[in-house]
Amino acid sequence: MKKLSKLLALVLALMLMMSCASAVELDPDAEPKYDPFGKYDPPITVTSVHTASDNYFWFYEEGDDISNNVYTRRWAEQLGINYEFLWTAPMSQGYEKLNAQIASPELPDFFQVSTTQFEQLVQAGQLEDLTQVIQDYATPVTKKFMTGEYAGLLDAVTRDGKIYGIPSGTSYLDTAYMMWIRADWLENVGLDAPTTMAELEEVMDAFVNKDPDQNGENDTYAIATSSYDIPYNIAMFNMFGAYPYVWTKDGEDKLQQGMFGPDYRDNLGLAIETLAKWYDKGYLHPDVGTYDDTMKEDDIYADKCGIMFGDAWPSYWPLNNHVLINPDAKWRPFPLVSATDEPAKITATLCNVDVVVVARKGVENPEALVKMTNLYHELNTYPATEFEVFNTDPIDNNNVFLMYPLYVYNPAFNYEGYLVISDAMENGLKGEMSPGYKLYYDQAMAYRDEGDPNGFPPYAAYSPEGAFSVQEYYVENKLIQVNEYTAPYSETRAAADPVIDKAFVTMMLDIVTGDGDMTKFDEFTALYDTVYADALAEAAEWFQAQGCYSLQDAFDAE
Amino acid sequence: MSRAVIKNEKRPFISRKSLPFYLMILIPVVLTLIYNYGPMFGLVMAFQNYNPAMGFLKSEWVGLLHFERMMDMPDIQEIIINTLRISIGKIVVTTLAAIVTALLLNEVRNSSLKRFVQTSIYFPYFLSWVILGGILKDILAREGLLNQFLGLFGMDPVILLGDAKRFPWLLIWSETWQQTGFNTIVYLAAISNINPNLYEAAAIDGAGRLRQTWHITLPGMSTTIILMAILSMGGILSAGLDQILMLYSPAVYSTADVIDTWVYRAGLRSAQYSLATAVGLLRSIVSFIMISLSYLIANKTMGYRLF
Amino acid sequence: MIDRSPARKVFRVVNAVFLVAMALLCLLPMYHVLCLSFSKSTAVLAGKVTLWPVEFTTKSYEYIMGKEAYWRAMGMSFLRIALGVPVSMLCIILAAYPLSKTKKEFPAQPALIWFFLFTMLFSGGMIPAYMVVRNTGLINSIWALILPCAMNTYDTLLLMNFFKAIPSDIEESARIDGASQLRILFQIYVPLSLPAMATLAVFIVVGHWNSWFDGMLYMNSESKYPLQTYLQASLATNNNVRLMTKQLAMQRNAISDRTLRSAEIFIAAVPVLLIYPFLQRYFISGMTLGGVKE
Repeated sequence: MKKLSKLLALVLALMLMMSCASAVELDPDAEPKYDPFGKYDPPITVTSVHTASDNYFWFYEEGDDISNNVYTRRWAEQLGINYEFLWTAPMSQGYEKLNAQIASPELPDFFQVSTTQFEQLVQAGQLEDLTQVIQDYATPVTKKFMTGEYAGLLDAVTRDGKIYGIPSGTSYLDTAYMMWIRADWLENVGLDAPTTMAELEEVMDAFVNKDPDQNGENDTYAIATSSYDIPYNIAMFNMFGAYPYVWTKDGEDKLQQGMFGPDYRDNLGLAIETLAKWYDKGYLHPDVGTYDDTMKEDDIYADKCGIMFGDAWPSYWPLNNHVLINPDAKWRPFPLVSATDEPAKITATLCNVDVVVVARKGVENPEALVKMTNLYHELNTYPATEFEVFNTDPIDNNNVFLMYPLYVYNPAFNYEGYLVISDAMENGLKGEMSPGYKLYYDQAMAYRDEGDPNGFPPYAAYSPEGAFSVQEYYVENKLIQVNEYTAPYSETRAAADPVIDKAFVTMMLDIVTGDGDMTKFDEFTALYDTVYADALAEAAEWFQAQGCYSLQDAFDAE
Repeated sequence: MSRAVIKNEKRPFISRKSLPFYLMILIPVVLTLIYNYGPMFGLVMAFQNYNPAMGFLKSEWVGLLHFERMMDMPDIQEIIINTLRISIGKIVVTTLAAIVTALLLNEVRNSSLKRFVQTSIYFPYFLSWVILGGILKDILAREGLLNQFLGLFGMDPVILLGDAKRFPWLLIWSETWQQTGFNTIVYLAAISNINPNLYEAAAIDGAGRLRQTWHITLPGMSTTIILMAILSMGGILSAGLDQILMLYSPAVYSTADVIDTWVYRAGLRSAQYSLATAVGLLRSIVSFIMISLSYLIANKTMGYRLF
Repeated sequence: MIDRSPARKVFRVVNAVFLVAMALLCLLPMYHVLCLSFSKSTAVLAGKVTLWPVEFTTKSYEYIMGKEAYWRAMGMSFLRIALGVPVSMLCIILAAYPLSKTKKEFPAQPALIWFFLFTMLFSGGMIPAYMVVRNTGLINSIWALILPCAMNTYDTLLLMNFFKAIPSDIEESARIDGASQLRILFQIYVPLSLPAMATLAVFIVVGHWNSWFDGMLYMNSESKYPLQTYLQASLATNNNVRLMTKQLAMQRNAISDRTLRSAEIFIAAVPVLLIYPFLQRYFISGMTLGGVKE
């Protein structure tokens, strides 16, 4: 643990140094100048919108709905803030509708936007500058998630020294990439969890040929995946030393993509060749080229496969469903094996903004947004004093937090939760635990001791054998490939990416499910060099403008 | 006498005789102007890098950039060919299927049977491709119904979903399955419009049912058939996004990736209003040309008149 | 008159068999959805349900029938149809009739055909449409779901086609008798075109019933959503989600109950399925009504 915090502190210092151009000084420990929970009397009304649907919340109490629930009542009671919705529309349609709203322009007072929408709004000068109100009203908790190791989140929403929104995102601690394997099948075929590539192939072979589900027939295969999953499966490629979605240094002053860059082509080629071999041996379903995610999940539910390459969350979807159908399915996470001589590294972006909570320019009470966020954190994320009411209902596991339109994610929750929960699971419960963690602790224990399938997700994530223990292994051994290219997504890339995507996916599936002829791979890399030239030049330019400061080097040099 | 007189006769644009027509059509025209022509100013997005927050007036102008980009794409030819192949196939097969079904239904004497069939075949129209696609995928899976059926005859399993050559046919026939019931409605209405005396007269002259169909029913439906065919030309570059998205996979991109699916995937990365509008504009222009062309052909060869 | 030859008999039987087979093939998907809606969720996920419910349960239907929001959305759809059908039909009839006249009788006819045809092909897209609806004050009003789509060119051209088939001497004799065009239209042409009217009605009803995007775009509160808009929230496609987060996983869980979704779909389809059988009796020749002499 100590090593970890020392490491993080260094990252913090280095990141602050790096982002000097747009850094804002936020002291996370300073108490706010004004009452962070100050109630408005008379109450004020603010407008917002929500991209969720009444349809999700079939567990409402009598008479509640999206405009009238625990959140609205508490906000009115404690803060004197009534928030109303201009409209609500679910998920992707909500996103579209927000675009129409932005174009109108009829912006709500406070709302949550994607990073793309944030860029557009900032460019158009439609957002309120929140720098002052954050400094004056934010609690240390609210500030904690924007400073220190999360300073990158704040940078992403700062322009010319002014903060234009409250970022909600994740850090590299929030997820990891690993193999999920059915431990019950391992038992049945008499093998241990694989630690080398050779052992992995032995396991896969046994899953195909040694009837691991013991139903008397050889009707199973090894890897659960789909045609949408396999070309971008981060965990799978990390095993071979290729890093999807991240950019690394190319020489001293340029950047390259971790999948297609010149340093990674051999590894990528090896990955594709190996997958082609695995396909021939039946480790992948013969129709993997036409599989979609539903079919992949259906195979998992039907006990047809025993390995899944993913991040930390499969236990929440879809493996949780499988365990409900078949409580004996013991999916467990394991660190990735490596195809090279060196241990596998996982890809990570040090700070990744998911959505931004913003206020429209000219709104009357911008500080209200900060107060609302303060309260949200207090009840919900940290210290989560009323977790069971505002975040997750312990009885049915209902996700109450989805009702709130302006959520800000607690990026520290998962990793800290793991540390606390697994310590308690190993050494016993000592004293008070924050209600959020306690809920997951109870559920994980219920799964471990009584086999309660509802406790499977938290168990598989937070227990000493869970996904975050795998994450801990990577972090402690610094097996992390950091993303260097943290600029906002550009038009150039938006134009080139779809072309490369399609070419890569087609090529890869062709080779894997076909004759393994690698000439198509060479054609692809040639195409990449032509099509991506502009984007590469743009990346190099950006990198040089940052003084060629490498996040990876800083990370490694502990 | 007539020609010279008529040529010199002034034909007023609005006369007492034609005034009622102008008044009648006034409301539809006004509604169309507001709700159809009104939004057309949005077509400028095709020439901008549209940013919803900045609006139409302030977004950056890029002229023909999006069109150039489209044409520069390495697989643009393949995409256009796929689109045409699928949509023309669909137009031809669905039209023929609807006509044939209407004719066959017309031969059914038993009215309850006729009603049962008529109603049943129009059911799939009400299921979206999200559901129909899922069902179809189940049926066509390796262990699905189709292969089980083939297995009864000792045939090897067939994987249509992954077979690039046959995939377009899958799209065409499954669309036919979904749409035929609904499309036959129009043709049945056209058939009902035919004067029954004509059939009696033909029967007296000794014409069999087949000849009656050829000489009475089909000609009686002809204006409807031609109109429907011309109108369907308007959809020539839309190959059915929902259906293809549900059924396709990278294994069949080479024949199934059409304009709409390409734009859809591009839009997943960042909202691409400008690109989508540019594509839409191009599509509209081509459809317009196709409709005009097919009308011209129908006019010259069959004397079909809209005006 | 009636051909009783053996060839004809064979044809009739084969025809009937073929059509019934086609009908069953079309009924199967709906039937399958029905079975799903009566099966336990875990059985559905495990892929065990094909043509008969597995672990029969009426839980989904009970839940839906008890959910006020669902009936409200259904009511919205009915309201939309009750208002939209007369408005649309009126617009289309009023447009189709003049368009069916010749240039001599109605000089603006060719220009107007192009005028309407153009709108079928060219569109400014979602955002400008939203702006126009907003500027005409219809946001959050049921009329936003009725007026913008009241004038449908495709249906108009179809109806125009049917009107053209009516012989012009009928109009001539009526005019000689002193009837106005409006009377001719509604008292002669419309009754003579019953199959066309029925077709039009089906198309309009179905169009309104199936459309969901305008409801989502123009209505601000979910209590005003028509049925299909309300259901869209439930049907999310699974693909293309490459980077999972815990939140996304939880959202997926919230909408994953396939039994519930199947029940919703089935209940949503049933009312509109009944429209066509109801209107089928109008598919008889208008020529046989009123004894018009040919």
